Amino acid sequence: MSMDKRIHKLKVNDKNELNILNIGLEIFYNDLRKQGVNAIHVAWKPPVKLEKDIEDILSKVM
Amino acid sequence: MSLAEEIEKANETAVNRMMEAQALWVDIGEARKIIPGFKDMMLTHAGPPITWNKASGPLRGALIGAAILEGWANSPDEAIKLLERGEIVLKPNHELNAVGPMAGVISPSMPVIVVKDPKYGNYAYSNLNEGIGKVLRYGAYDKSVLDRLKWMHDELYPALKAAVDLIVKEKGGLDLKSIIAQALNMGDECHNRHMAATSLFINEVMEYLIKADLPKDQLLRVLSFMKNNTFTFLNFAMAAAKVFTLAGHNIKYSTIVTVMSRNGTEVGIWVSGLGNTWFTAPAPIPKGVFFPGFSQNDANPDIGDSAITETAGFGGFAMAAAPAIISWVGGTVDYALEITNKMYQITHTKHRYFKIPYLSFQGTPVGIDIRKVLKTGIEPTLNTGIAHKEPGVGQIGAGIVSIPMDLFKQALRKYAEVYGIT
Amino acid sequence: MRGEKSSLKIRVRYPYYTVNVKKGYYMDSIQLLKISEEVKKVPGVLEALIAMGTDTNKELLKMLGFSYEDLNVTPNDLIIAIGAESEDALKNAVNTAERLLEEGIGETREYYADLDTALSKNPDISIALISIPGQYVKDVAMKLIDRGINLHIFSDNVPINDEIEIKKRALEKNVLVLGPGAGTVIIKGVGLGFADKVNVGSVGIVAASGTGLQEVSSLLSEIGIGISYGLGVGGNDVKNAIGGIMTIKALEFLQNDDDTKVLALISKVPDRETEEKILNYIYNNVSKPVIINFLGGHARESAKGNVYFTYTLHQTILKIAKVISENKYVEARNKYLLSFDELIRLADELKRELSSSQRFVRGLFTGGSFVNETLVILRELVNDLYSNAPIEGVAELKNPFKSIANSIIDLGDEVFTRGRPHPMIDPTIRVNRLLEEANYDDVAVILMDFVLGYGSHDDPVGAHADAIKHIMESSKGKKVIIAHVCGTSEDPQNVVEQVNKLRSLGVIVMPTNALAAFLAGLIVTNKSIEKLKYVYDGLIEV
Repeated sequence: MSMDKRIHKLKVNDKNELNILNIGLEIFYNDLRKQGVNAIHVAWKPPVKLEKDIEDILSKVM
Repeated sequence: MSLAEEIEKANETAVNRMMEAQALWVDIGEARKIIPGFKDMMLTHAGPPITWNKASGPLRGALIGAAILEGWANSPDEAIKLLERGEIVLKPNHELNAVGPMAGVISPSMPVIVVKDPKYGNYAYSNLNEGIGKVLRYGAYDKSVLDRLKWMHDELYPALKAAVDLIVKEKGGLDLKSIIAQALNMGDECHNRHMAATSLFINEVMEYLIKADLPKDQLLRVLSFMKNNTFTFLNFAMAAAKVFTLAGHNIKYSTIVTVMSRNGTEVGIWVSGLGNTWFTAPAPIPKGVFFPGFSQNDANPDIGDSAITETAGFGGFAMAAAPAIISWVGGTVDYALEITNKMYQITHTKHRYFKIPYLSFQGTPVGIDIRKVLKTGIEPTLNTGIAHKEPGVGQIGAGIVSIPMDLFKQALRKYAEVYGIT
Repeated sequence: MRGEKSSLKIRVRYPYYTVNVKKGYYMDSIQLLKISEEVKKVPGVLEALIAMGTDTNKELLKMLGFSYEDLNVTPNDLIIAIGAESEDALKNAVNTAERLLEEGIGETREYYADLDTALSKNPDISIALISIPGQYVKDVAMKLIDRGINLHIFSDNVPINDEIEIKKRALEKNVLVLGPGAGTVIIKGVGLGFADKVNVGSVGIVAASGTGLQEVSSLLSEIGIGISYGLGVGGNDVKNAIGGIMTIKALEFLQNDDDTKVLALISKVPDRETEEKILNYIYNNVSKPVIINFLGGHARESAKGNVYFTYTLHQTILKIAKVISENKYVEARNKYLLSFDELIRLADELKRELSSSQRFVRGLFTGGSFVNETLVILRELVNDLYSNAPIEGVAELKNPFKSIANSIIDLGDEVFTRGRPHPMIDPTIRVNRLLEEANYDDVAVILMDFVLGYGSHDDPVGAHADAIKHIMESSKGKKVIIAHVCGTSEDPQNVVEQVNKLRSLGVIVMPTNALAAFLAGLIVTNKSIEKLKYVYDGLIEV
């Protein structure tokens, strides 16, 4: 069974070949950096919660 | 056409006009003579309407200083009495098509520049920049401040008047838009960084100052003053931004923001399709980097009309064009790019004429759409100087600030009312 | 070298100070401001001004207490003025300033507020670790999958329909999705999420069980058997709704990986159909030795020579060692196995210290798989067994906050973690529950797991020390506390130190969770010795 490139991104010889994107808890990003791995962190925020009337108007104007 | 289509069409019109508007510096004169609607015993200021009671330190200081400058009071105490009793009319700059940085106080005898948009016929006004440190716009009003303002009236103004008259005779006016466009390619964003723009301006004006045949020592004082103040061009950039946004204002159905401004206590916006209606909220305190000896605790809430630059699609919206500014936001070049990228999500289009080299010369984000702000939850982000909350201390740092979401909610609700959306 | 340094004779108000001037050294004022800020952060620094020699800055120098008499400095020269509490602090500060002036000031961390920007600036991401609230995972996951990025979804509470959609899309795009609810992933020695620092080697593990993966990988690593990949697939993959999609994909990955020589599959018991699917896949496609551990599953005969079945994590470790080599097997037995007789002896000793009214076991666990394994063993040894995460043959504990008879509690369950950090990070809930359980006169044994590694509390044993001491010194009567520590000597918390700390507190430390559970069962059981030996042979011995 052949495997294409994408899963192959996980087939690494050592950690230097890994590039990790962390989104969510910052502690996981810190731990990755402590292990000397190439990592970036995305400080995710939940999408906006709007009041009902605003949502209603938006649905009519967009 | 559906409502959404009407709105798209109106926004397209509004933003097109914003981008196509021209900005020529054509005159300079005293506010009372130049600005229609400017009356005696009147002081205009940055931001939405405000009373003396609610005014913050820097604005109060500037009002006191202006009252003394005009000779309405002989001392700060006398000035305060006048202001407390309401004997001086306070009016927002924007309501007279004027703009001023920080406290933005303009008094009847202050020299103001006139910027004209020959394409759509609008005029905008601004005062002259005093420089950095202890200045009126940060609420300082001691003798050194007043002396400097007097000098600006007595020497700088006549020199610039002589120069601009010659410029108008020769070519109709000084093209400010082209200076802004060039400066954006030279590391300025034209709100908080004007090094290139000011240099270009002095380049342009120099010849005419010499032709004006001023006494040599006056000429040297004028040149030295402008050269040493890298913010010289700020007020010109702001007046230009004002004519750009005026072109896009009052377009029926449009949801594009045409004014964003702060008075040190509140921040306010206007929306094109809702005319001169102010929507206001408490002004946030900027977050940033502080000069030695100062901290966040000393900071005044956001203040100034200079957010007109972001409204017109440059300034903080071109943060990516000015990596030197990014130290202010405490981050990396990537962070500045990130902020600019976010602004693309809340604006109508990319500017046809203002480009950012680092983003492969993409146009700056222009035309803040209140619908997009609400939908994405992204507030417009600006760079700004930070004033000390006590009058007279001056600038204590620099940083970024966002325009609160609540304003856009208020505007949308009003929009629904005005345009009959149930 | 740019500029010359020249020192100035000045009076200052700092115990230790330096004022240097770099002539002709220009730098942007905002950059210098940032550098001053950084230098001020150096411990022991009282003030720092690094700025061009303008009049304003010279005024500022005075104002800050670096008074001077004859400062021959022009606006084109750089002033470096630092005041500190000690000579060392001053030296550090000066070094920092010099370094920053040389290198420029920029962040070394790569932080983004916005996923799109992060992706456009980093086109070559191998895997994304997602730990945002479950209801928002789908949008983020789909965006990443469409860009061909593999996922480790740590997040829990992802709606099952979202999980189905995510995994279907992942199959189309041929990316691996590990999770949702996968606590641990190990890639060539790098730990994502909760993971221990393990050696790299030739054993590849697919686990629908985070702590199961941690236990097996840690204990193998401690006897020199390294892990190539530890792929956590999360708790739902082996349900029929998902059908084991990613479990199979992960097994396929390991089968095709040249560095992996031995496979292991650890999971709670899959749904019937899915179990068949997975086993069929293994029988038809996996040629390397594979050890299958369905925790709590019924005994199976292997249909093929390279396939082995085990019933506890403990057995899995021993079996893998056996498959690797005879030497490793001996090492594993020495380190991780106690003989039946030894255990009986130990149990009798401990029983002697208890009163006759003490009859029950209370288990307080942070790892779900340890709960599972403990129940698998205890259900053979005691009656009246309850849990808030029951398996077949175990009654459900209706109120997870109140133990009944023999109760094994999964403190990682949602009812305890809603709005709180996981108990592996925050010991508060368990410490309180521990003190509660120790107050009951009918409780004989308290069982606990201590999980080390990245993501966990930095001193799990220390966090419980006071509570344990209180219990041991209590006049209320003896309680037997049995624990096991899941971790390696490379972990930040160091397994050897944690074990020693526990022992010094009087806790009985067992090398594996299964042994701890078995010992606890022995203390309270009333089963015959023959039955006990039968259980030992079936679940402990290999």
